[in-house]
Amino acid sequence: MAAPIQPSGPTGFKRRRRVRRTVHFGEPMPPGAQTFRAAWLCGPALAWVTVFLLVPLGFVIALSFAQRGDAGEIVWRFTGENYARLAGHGALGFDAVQPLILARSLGVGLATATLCLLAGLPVAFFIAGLPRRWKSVAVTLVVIPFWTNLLIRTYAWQLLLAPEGWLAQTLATAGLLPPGEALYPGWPAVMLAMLCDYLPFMILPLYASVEKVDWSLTEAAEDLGASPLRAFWHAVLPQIRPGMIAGGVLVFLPATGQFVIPDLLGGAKVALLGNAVQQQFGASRDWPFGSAIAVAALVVMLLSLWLHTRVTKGRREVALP
Amino acid sequence: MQPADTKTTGPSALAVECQHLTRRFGKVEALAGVSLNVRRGEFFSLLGPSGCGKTTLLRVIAGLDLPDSGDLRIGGLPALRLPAWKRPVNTVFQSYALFPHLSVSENIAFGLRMKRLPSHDITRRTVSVMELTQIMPLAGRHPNELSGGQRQRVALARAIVNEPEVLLLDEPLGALDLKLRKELQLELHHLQQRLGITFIHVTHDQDEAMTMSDRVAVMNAGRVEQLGTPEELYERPRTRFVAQFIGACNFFEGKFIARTGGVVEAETPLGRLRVELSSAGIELAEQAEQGRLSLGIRPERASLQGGESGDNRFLGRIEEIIFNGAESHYRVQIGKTELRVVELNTGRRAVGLFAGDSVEVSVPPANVFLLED
Repeated sequence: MAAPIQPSGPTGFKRRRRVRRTVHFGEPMPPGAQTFRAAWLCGPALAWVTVFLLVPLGFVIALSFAQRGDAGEIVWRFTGENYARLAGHGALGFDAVQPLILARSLGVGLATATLCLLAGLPVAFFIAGLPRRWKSVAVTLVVIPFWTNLLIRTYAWQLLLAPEGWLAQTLATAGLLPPGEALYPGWPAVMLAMLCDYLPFMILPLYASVEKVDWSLTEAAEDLGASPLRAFWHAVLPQIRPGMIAGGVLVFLPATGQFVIPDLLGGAKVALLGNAVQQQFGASRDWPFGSAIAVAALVVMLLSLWLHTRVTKGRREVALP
Repeated sequence: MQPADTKTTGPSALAVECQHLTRRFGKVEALAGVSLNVRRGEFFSLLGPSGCGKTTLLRVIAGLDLPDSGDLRIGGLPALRLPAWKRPVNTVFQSYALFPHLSVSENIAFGLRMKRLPSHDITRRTVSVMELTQIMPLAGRHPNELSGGQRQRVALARAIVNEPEVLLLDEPLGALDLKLRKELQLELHHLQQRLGITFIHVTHDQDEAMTMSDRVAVMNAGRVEQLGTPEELYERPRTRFVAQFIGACNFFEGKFIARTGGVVEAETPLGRLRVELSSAGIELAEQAEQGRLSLGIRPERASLQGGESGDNRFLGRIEEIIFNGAESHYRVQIGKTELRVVELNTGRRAVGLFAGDSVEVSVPPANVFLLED
């Protein structure tokens, strides 16, 4: 039987493109909310994460409880010695080197996040205040540094901060720096490079938040007797808190583990977690201890994140009878 | 320029004094020289269509906007140099502008906290205002968990807890449905009488302004068209705009013919019309250019049911009847012109009129008013 051929008119098209929407208590839900039909689409990503993240992570955790052989090979015998060493138990009593590195890394992460926040806030407000067509231009400008590799940018800092660089030259001419002196290695150089490297991660979420600020709340606050500064504090900051948290996390986590910048601009005194891990897996050939450092860093960061959410949640209600 | 007087030193009977305030946004003149006084303790309304400058005036009083020129005094003291946060006024915003991150009680306590009052004072006053506005059960909720009417109450409570000298309300009932609006109109009115705070209320709803206010300023295109009690505005509108904006009105061009005592006779499309005027009205009529008069008659002030002996009488034909429940609207053709007449359906007297019937329309001379434009 020859079925009548449907003319491929607009109706046939419409039927195929109809979107099935599930309605839940009268409210439309996204199509994937109830059915798990779309779950297999997550398959590739899940497989990727499992093979290249979860399995290696398990391996690293297992490794952190193993021992190092005399030739740097891995000896699979359970021990807590790596963590004890990390906590400061050295062969000759207490050794502060490893705990210091951990604390220093967290400090650097926190400092970077804070500096980025202070530097990023004005930029975010500035971009949000631009005319519409300039906003996307400004955002593009913020992202442009990413087009260059981090390593190259860091080497560029070396050139800029070198004794022959215009910065050192200018300072030397002004008498603020002995001639022939470089501005690196050292903490200022590291923090400068960190700030520049991570600023975009702070600006973008901040800007997204600032863009949504309801300025009528500022007027309400001023109307109720808040000075401009207090109006900003009480009416604007709470509104951009999500952006501040997102930016803070985005900066804090990678900054804590950063090893290229401290390595190239910091010198030996400015070793961070990343450098320590790199050293254990590289020159020292002590994979178990390197793993222990990595796991400890992971735990500490998760803990600080958890603490952060607890703190920000806790300060909401000022109860009245 | 006035010499130093008592106004600069002590409280005056006037809560707000505006003198020649102007404000321009680009090409738009939002305020074109507004001068008005608001008395202490009165419920004052700024009434006008959208874009007439009423909200701009409110924002200037609140300090959220600055005028280009003019002078402003609040409580007898110069206010223009005070920033918004130092002025003794509080605003109920049209959008309510409640702080979403604070609970209802924290929202209300905000102003008191900014004044750094002791915490037990803050608690006491917050609670008493919440009781006054009947929102005690909502104290712990956040604004996104409230209905429109509840938000309105919270916004009101947040403003009056500060006991301002003047409370500014920017279309506070605009976002609510009709029934709730009627309810809150009465509540606002009672609240104002109870607190004795000066209220300045912005609205485009003439009904709302008439119901609640002691005095109303009708604004149009950045100017105050007329300022007076609701009765004055309705009974003696000065301009065509006011007559039209407040209630319905029939307008006629007339020509001045003669004056006998307080009554002016005019030739209109209806026929000879006798108009009873005040002395100011007579002066206006006599000085009219080429004797041209602009006259108005409210539809309910003309009658189809016979009138008194001194009334103007016209013969006409009913074109259309619209029954509206409590009242009926008639379109009556008189000569070459048309007159809209409204009769109350009291049920006492059967009007028994139909479209096409001939009727006699009577208009008392005192119920015709003379307009300036």
